[in-house]
Amino acid sequence: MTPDAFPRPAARLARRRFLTVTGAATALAFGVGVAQAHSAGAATPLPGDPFTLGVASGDPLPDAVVIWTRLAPQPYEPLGGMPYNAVPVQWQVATDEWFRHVVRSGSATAQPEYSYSVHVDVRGLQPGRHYWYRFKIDGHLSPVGRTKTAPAPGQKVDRLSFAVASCQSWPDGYYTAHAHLAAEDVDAVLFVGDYIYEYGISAAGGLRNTTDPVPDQFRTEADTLDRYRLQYALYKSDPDLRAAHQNAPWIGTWDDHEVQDNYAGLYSRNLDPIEDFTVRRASAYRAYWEHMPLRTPAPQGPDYLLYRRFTFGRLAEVNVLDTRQYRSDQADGDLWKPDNPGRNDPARTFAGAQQQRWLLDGMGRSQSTWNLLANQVVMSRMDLDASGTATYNMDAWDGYTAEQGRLLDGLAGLRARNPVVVTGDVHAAYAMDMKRDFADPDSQTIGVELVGTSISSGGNGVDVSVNGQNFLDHNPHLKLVNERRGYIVVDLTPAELHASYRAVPYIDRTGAPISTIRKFAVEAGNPGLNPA
Amino acid sequence: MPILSSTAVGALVRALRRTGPAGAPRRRTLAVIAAVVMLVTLGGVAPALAAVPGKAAPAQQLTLGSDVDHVTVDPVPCAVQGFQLRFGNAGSSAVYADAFIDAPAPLTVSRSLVSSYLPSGYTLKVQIAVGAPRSTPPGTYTITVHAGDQQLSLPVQVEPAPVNDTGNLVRYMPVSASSENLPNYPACGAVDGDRDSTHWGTTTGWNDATKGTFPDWLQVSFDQPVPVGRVDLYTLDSAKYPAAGYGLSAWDVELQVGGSWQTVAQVRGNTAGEVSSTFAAQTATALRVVTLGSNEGVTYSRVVELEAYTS
Repeated sequence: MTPDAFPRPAARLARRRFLTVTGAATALAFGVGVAQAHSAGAATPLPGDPFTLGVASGDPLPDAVVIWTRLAPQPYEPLGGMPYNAVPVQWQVATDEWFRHVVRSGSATAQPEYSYSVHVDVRGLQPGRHYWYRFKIDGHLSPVGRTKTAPAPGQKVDRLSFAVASCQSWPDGYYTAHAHLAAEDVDAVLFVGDYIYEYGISAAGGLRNTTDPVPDQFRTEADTLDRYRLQYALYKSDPDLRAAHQNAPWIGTWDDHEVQDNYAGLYSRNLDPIEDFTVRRASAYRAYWEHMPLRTPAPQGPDYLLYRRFTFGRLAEVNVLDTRQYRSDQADGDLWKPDNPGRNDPARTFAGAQQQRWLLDGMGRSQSTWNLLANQVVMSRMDLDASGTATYNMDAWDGYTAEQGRLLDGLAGLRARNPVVVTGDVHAAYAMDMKRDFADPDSQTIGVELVGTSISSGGNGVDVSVNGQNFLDHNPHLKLVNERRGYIVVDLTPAELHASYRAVPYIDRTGAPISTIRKFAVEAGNPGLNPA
Repeated sequence: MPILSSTAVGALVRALRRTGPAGAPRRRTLAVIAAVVMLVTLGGVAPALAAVPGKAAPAQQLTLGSDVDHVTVDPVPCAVQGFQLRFGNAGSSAVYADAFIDAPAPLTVSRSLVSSYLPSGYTLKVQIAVGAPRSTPPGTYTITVHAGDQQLSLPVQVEPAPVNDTGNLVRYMPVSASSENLPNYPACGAVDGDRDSTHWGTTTGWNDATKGTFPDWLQVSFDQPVPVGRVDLYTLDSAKYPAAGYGLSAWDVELQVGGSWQTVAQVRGNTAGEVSSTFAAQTATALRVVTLGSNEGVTYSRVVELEAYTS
């Protein structure tokens, strides 16, 4: 973190953004008018263990981390089986997993308005160290989570490790990759979108072919707040996902499916009336916040500032992007298309001018060796050479060339900052040199883009599909395609980055082993992928 | 947008600390933070603080309505019936609100809770499916919706169960599948009496949701054991999507007899739109088609209609 921005740039930025965007939209009443009807902690016994959805932590700062849980004794019932009133929840943070040395503790309020989620921004912690946390209510004790604060500002750090994960469609298979991710010793998990998919789920649970039928209320697509909450509850019913949260702090961003497939700004996939889609987006954003270890304030309405920055001493800075909320509608009807005027229209936005400026200004001020961009959709040019014609994904940065060009120009100027873009979306592992001119393989490499495959989306997958081979054949900057399920571990030292691509051979049943399918190294100060 | 001064925010925080849960001031609760933010959003016009226990909330002005004045229900699986709930906010401020939907047993509703962000003046429209098992006595029932101090009562007329005079044993029986490509390709579409492939993609046929994976399965469970000696399967076969290009190429027909599954017919190398499998009739509690391949390659299973007969 840059010293002048210390201690909490993300929080300050959040406040400012909230004023300018949400405040202009409408005034909001906060409550639903129920909490006051009962005294907090009314002595109604809960109908079971309320910690069915596990615990989580995230957004680590040098002195703080957010710890999270959501009370849901009956996660698929209305209100998660909770009484319709606010309840107090105790929390503790300790320096040891047995809680012999509790360093912070307190009480938080779980409210129906936020689906009884608890987000405690635990302050006053020491930098760069592990902590353990847990919650308690009515004699029920939560699982113990482990988390880690970021190193101190300006501190020289010898080594950091991040996992990059995305795309976890629940009916597409088991989260075996998360089980292995939970066993990694990483400083944080960067989850770059598609935490849930909004689609209805059949009784058999897709590829999971569950013994117990998925309840009837999951058949319809998630489109209202209650229904998005159900979707998160089902996803978090997977013990491997809970384990991955339990072991390390997460730094997340969303892509499209947290709201709707390939939505853009306030444009829904089917161009529903904006009035209606605004409401849907507001409900979806609220549900996302409720289920992620994010700081308060919660979204109040259809806008939410999600892009933010984390600094890990002098070694790394992580810039978390949001390229969904501010983008123009996809060009030429979306999908993969040859070059077209809409794609190149300079008036169309993607990250938006404000976010671009924030990103490039921040990277320019960074004093960290490695500057990561937690990014949703592929940023580098990617040509699916369909029928001999260059063809691009209208939903990716390629579909918005004006902003893509501005950002790549900006990153070229920041080449010395070692830009590392980590990406999700495509359910395939890619490794790419980002070129000054993608049409010229000999042009300067300005950074690298590491695309993690999906945790589960797409089912078992294959090593390289026909399309995957097509990409390899027509994109010389692309050094790896693998379409098995898994994640990337990015290890950083002051001299080198090591990217280990991990994958499992199947997910239609549990228990698959993990293996490292490819490793790359990047030298600090000399962007570009090298075999490792 | 007026911005509240930090002094005012500080005063509010102090006030909230006095009313908030006991604990060190550093340990801010959700209630405190969120309430402060709300105040900022409102530009300093302090609302009542619903988030803080003990404080009065502003009364919400919610509205409830429906698109019909009563719902007619056929007590069979797969019936498409229900109502559109209209959940509105007549107040001057946006709210997040909950509407609870109660249906008397044995009626079922697709959602028993609708929660949403509701801007001022906005009415959310949500389709609520209403179902009833075959054994439901015909008559009038009442679904109740309540939100805040609002309540809506909606009469439901349950009709007598339809009589199946087609000889097709799967009509009006519960159907399930390994996966369903929702909302346009539900398993129900395979037992709806519509064999017409030109209706493909309009909920009249089943398409699984696991592209690239076989086998898939489609299953009908009978209300009571029935003798089954013939199964007719109509796979996708239209001018646009001929069976030889898009239909199923291979499947097994299985019957559940005495609690265990038995394969009674196997179809291989099929390119036709309609295949009738006959076999010695057995008394079965369920029928299952296990799909093994498509003429399109390793993609999807597509069944327009599944029928079963005693002979």
